[in-house]
Amino acid sequence: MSRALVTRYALRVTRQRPTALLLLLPSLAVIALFLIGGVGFAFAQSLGMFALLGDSEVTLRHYGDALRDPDLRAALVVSLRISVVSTLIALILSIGMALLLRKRLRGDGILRLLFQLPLPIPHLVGAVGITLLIAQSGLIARLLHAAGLLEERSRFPLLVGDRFGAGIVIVYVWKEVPFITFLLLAALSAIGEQYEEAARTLGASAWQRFRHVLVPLLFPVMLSASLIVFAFTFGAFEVPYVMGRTYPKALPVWAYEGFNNVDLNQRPEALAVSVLIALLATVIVLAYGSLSRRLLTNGR
Amino acid sequence: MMAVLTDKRLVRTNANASAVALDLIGLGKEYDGRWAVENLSLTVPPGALVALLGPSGCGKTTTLRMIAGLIEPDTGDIRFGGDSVAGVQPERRGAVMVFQQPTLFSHLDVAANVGFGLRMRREPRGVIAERVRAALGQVQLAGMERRRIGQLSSGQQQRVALARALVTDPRVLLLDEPLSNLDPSLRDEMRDLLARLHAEQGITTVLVTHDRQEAMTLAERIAFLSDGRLQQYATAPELYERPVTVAVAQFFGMVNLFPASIVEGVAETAFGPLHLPDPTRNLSEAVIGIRPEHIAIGYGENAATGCVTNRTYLGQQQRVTLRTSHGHTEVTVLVPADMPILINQEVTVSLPAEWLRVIVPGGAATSDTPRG
Repeated sequence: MSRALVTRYALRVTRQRPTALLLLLPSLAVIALFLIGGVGFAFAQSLGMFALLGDSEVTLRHYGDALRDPDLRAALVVSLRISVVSTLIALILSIGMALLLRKRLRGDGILRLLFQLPLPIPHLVGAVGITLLIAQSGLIARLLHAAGLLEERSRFPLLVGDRFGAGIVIVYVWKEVPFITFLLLAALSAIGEQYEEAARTLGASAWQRFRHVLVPLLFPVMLSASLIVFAFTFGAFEVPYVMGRTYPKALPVWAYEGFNNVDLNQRPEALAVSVLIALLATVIVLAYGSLSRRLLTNGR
Repeated sequence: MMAVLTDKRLVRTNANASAVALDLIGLGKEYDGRWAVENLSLTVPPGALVALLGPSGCGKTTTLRMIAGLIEPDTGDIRFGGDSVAGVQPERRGAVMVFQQPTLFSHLDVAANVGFGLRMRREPRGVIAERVRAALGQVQLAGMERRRIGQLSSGQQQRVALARALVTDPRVLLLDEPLSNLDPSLRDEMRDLLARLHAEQGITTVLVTHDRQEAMTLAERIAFLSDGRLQQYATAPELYERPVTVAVAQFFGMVNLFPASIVEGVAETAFGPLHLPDPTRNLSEAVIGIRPEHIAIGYGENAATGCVTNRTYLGQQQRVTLRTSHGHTEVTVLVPADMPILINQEVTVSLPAEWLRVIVPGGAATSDTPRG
């Protein structure tokens, strides 16, 4: 979106209703600051326009370097694996949760509160808390050891800093299940039970009602919720930073460490990776947009 | 034999030899200490269409959902063709429900919606396609197989819902206000379609409605419910002309109701003494009812004079309300629209004995099966 276009639109808005622009200004300013100031600056540096390194020439060399880097490929695999596995597990658990809570939740304030509890807790706090719980030196291993159920604490399965990223997945699942469940419950209450009842009197068994009625009705919500979770877990930095291995690192961690490296020459490449992450997230969101629009128009 | 065959109900029974009778026996459902449906017994003959009629909250939808198996009754039994369906899951009862909302599956096209029930039963593809085509023809949607649900009008959607139910060849068809969501013009069309399909297929059908007209035009018998209790289970003319409870009388427009005590064929009411046609047993508590169209203007049998308090123009007729000079009782009369009547005018009305109806307390049907 060119700035000229924004200006032209803003002018049109101003002509029609001067206060409209005034009211939009705060949020426009924030969006512009992040978009132009943040991402734009990072993009410029990733192209080699970095005054601190002396002569700046516009080049795609850093992108080439990043893509050829075997560390990047390893990081990409780690990040994709964590995101895909977390999203799938969270989605499946959330569907089960939503169906279980659907009938119970109507009047039950305490249950609702309990299950929504992880929602406002920051990922970082969750990561630290779960690490303290499930690490080999963590509470569970200690308790099992104290109870004599575990000979040595090192026999406890490695869940933090393991090859697979199990701890990271656990944190994401713990944090995202309430989020997806919340969206699914809202959708379920909007859908009501009449579709299932109609299917039921037509002879559909419990599994058939789930498979042929609920899943198609919930599909748009499942799709959008899992895309949000996927995009977030793919780009989030703090959880793999706290709980991940030193090698291979998750993509955002790798980019962050490259950015903070004392060797400033690393920075353009790290920023190129950041831009790639942002680009990938954008592509996913756009793909979702067109996919859901196609599904909606098909439904018409 | 030919004469018998022209009898409507016999023809219907012949149309579907496998039609089952539906028996409700002492059916009850309690919610929070209140009976939504209480001790309800009635029989729907095989292949008949019976309406559950009543104001909202009278328990008619609860009854329908119990027949479908979606609600477990607290008392009583439900029988299809003489066999109890207690404990039989809704998906195995063969009682298909059509709702007020079409509840079509928008991710499927028309053909897949109609064939849904057959697909759940894993019928062969060819059979499904053939029966879907036939069912769509029946509801006048031939050739619409590939349409999307969103492309259909509300009337068409409700017809698809009907085809979706009929194609499974249900033992009992349950219609929950299927016409209330349609425009008035569409409603008439849909009502005619329902009547025709019922005559053709002869599926045992229960129709829930709050619309008197709908019940009277579609149903062979009407079960009138009020406060969870069956008030009267009878044909439309019987309900209209001989209501057995005040609730039925009011619902069917018998607005003139006078509390009375009856001694030797004369009812003492606030309107005055009313001479009844037939010898009636003495009753300390009864209600005398008469329809507004049966009250005559002018001096005659059971006459009284009153002052006109209200008149409403209804097209062909006008509805006139007057307050009697003695007893100050309201009487509502339907008279031709061109009759010159003014507010505050003194008018004499007479209540012909032949139209007076005696409503006995406790007259509600507790258990009723159709006669003949």
